[in-house]
Amino acid sequence: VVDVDVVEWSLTLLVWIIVALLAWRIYKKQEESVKAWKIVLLMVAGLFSFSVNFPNDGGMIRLAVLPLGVMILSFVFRKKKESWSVYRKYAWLGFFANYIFLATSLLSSPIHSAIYPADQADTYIAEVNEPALRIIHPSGEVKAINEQNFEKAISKLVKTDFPSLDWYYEVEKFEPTEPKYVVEKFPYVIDGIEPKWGSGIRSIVYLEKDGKGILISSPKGQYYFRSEHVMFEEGDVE
Amino acid sequence: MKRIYLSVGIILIVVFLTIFFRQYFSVPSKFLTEEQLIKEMKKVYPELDGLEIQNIVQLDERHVFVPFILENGSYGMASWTWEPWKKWEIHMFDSEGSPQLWTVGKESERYFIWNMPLDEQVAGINFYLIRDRNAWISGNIPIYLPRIQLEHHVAFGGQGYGVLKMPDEWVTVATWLSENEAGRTDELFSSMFSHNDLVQYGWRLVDHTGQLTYIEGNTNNNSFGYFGSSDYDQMILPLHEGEVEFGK
Repeated sequence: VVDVDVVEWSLTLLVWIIVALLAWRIYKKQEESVKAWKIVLLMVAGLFSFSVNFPNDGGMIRLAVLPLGVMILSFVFRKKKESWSVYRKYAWLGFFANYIFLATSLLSSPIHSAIYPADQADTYIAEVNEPALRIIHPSGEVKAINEQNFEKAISKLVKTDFPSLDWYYEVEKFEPTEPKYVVEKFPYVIDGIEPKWGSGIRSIVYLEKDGKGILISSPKGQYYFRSEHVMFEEGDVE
Repeated sequence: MKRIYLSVGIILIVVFLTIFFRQYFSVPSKFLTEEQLIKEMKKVYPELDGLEIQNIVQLDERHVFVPFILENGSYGMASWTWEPWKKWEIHMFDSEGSPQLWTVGKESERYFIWNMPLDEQVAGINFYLIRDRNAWISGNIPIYLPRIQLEHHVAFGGQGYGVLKMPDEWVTVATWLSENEAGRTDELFSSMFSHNDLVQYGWRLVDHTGQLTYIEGNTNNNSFGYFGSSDYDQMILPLHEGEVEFGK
């Protein structure tokens, strides 16, 4: 159960490597040597900025505007002109790192969806270990999922548009009667499903009452797939 | 000289930390006696006169549930927690015992506790985990959230009070819904209005034929409740007729 977003992690690592290389270049060019821990502190302080946030593709984009860290540092070192002329470059590099982070966060989304297409079922259902049905509504019947049927079905899933509001009003249209008999369209959840490795995607996989449709629900959205095959055990199929 | 100060200081710190942690993780040896219980309860509810303690139910080392009957015949309940510094402390006192959800420490350790008057027509109690059906379209993206309704029946079997640890399956489902479900993270104003408003818990009484029922109140007008410490408690409401769905 590893739900780590590998794309995100690699990009973050990449940023740190780039920043480290740039720091190394500055270090090489300068005649006075600065201790490594000081360089790290200067850069971390330089990273500190006033920024503006924009919503983007479900997340937030931070655009650094004001180099607060650099300003504070230059105030602190206002009487040590020589040191500051050496330190300055690292502090600015820290601030500049904000933009490297910004660039990679803009890249991360397209890269992620190229490797893990959001609208394909096998992004969410990559590995299946003994799929189990959980009944989540009283209209669900005690049934078992057949692993072979299930794998056959998910290999030929067809993405289908779905009218969410119609589904809702099919069930909720009537005046509240008592007692309230309702057939839920998706009375099961399939447990034991792993997403594609490294995608970091979480989802809930609902199974339709007829055993042929699945609704994949993840924080980024929902996708509905239909199959010609029923996923239940043979004996359970009417 | 400096070294002496230093070593004395270190020893003092170690001794202090040892005492601190031993006290903090101390395990209570035994629970209070009935007299002590009643005395403590009078502190939060001075009008308490006669009171019959029905049972003392230990949930774990540090959490105790005490159902009781008041002199006026109403069924109430109290709960106690072991506080590292303050010893046993009353956590909740309620002069009527409608079910409550008690979160004990971790989010996964939650208990339903209740104390209901026994009634001829009542056979038990049903607990529910419910997430309402919902649907909307955001942008061009349709979202449909199926209704989730899990049920757990507890038969009274001669006593109207009880404790039920929340079933593992419920904890799993609630975790899925809070972490994996659609409509949570990518709504711009999700903090202002959430379509996917988590999970509710509810209860209904059940008669001998398995039908949902209710009885004229255990609830009286002058019921008294005290909720002491900062643990997260959740009142769970009796569900109305239309709030429970049935399959065919």
